[in-house]
Amino acid sequence: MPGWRTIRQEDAWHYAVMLLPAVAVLVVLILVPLGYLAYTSLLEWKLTDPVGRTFVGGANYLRMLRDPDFWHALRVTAVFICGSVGLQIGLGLVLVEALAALRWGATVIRTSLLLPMVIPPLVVGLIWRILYDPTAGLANYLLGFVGLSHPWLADYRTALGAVIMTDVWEWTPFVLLILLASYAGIPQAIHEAAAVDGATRWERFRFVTLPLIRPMLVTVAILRMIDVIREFAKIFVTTGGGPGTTTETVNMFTYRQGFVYGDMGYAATLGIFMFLTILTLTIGLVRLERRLAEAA
Amino acid sequence: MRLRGSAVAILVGLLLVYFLLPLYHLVTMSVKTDVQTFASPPVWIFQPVWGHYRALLRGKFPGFLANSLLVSAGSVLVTMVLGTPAAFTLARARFRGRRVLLLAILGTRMLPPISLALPVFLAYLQLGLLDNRLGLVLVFLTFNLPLVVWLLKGFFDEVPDSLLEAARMDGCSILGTFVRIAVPYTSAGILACTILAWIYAWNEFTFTLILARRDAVTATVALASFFDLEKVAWGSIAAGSTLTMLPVVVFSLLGRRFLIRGLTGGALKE
Repeated sequence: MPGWRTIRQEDAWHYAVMLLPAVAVLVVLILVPLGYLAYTSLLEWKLTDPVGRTFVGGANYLRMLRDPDFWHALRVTAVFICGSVGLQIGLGLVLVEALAALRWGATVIRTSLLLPMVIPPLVVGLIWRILYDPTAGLANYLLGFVGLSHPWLADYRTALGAVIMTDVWEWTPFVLLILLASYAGIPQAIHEAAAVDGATRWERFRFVTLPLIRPMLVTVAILRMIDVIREFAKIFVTTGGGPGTTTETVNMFTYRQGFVYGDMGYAATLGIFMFLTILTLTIGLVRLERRLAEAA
Repeated sequence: MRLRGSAVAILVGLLLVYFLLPLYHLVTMSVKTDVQTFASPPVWIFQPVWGHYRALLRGKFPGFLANSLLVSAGSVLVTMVLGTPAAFTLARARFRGRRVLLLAILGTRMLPPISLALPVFLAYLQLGLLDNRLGLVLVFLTFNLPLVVWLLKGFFDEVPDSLLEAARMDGCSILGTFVRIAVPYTSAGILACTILAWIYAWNEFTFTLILARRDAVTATVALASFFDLEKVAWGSIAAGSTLTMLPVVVFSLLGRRFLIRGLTGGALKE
């Protein structure tokens, strides 16, 4: 391997022994399956069909572009992203303003914030399914005081919002903890100077804090977007994509095509679409990080 | 204008209620009788009953928990054995293609599970690895190995060059400096990565739902199936959920300081 020439022969041998097993495993477990996914996307292949597979070229891709259910799933995903990421960042910004100055109890708060995001996502879904339940849940009891008792997950008008709220509960702590860290990095002197110049609290936030934390906000937003696109467990256990298909994201739609209908060719096409979307976002994230590193 | 102390206190109180009340509701539900569960207004003070746990532990659930334990422990072991030396090499060796390799590893970390689950499902169908714990151990490497390599590379970057060079002067080989210097120096980071990788494996749902049927089903997937029953067994669901999240809560409190860095996928620091 020519690339190793810069290193001494024996060292190169040691490095290779340490690196190559992991790389080999990743190639076998990730690159090979992705290649097979791309190949499958070119086939007409239903597990229930005794005829088996036939090569159809780009037919599955054309079908995807013409499929109203796919576009619907795409819209649901877009709403989920906007609602979930928007609420998390909005809530995070409001809360960090209050918490950044907090002198007491910071450890207790940070520890409590950690819990929603480390427990199994499926359990998060279950917790909210219980809370939303019209008979056993707490949500309706509490909301009943303000006259808002409602079968949140069963009504097609509120189901998506209700599922989004489970994601908000799980991941607002993540946004908040990262914001707390970036707030800690802003020198107090800047704020004091702005205060001396007569800036209001809002002006200080708008013109001092926000420009400083904006790159971090964009990074967090992209990370959260990637996670929402991959979201599965919470939707699966709260609504399963229903009622009807009102909460069916592209990920859930792909799952249904592949593992409920057994349509491997079409599901693989959707899988390729998912892969390319996330790849684009990840490249954007890396570019952003590099710009930040250069600016620093 | 500064927010007054009492306003902050109220906000913090609301925050804690918002994030902790759902957890409290779940845990208390697991020790309530069915009558108490459905009581309105909710019962806040009651004598805990352990019937749901007893019923759960007499049934199949211990087997599902055992599967979770075996699969997560197995995959974390393989992940750490493969990932730690690879991360050291990526942090220390300068070779052509290193940057591309690092970016590829970060990219694989972000992959949507469904895109891998489909070809892996088809391959396992051929190989007879469906509903097999070993099959799950292998597939869990797809998300944990990139995570661990990426995070540990960050920790190995922080080992002072002088330490490693001194060891080389004393006649240590590359492998020797890795085992004798780098690993002990980063042991806290390695432990934190182990905990994080274990949490991801324990919490995994998508792959297991698709690749396990009966024998290899883990606790998370078993919990999802509780709703398929004719009459929803709320007490069992609450007890099962509590048992499933308990070890995660314990371990994450132990590794609390490193978890934030890990949960961001290391993407916030190259």
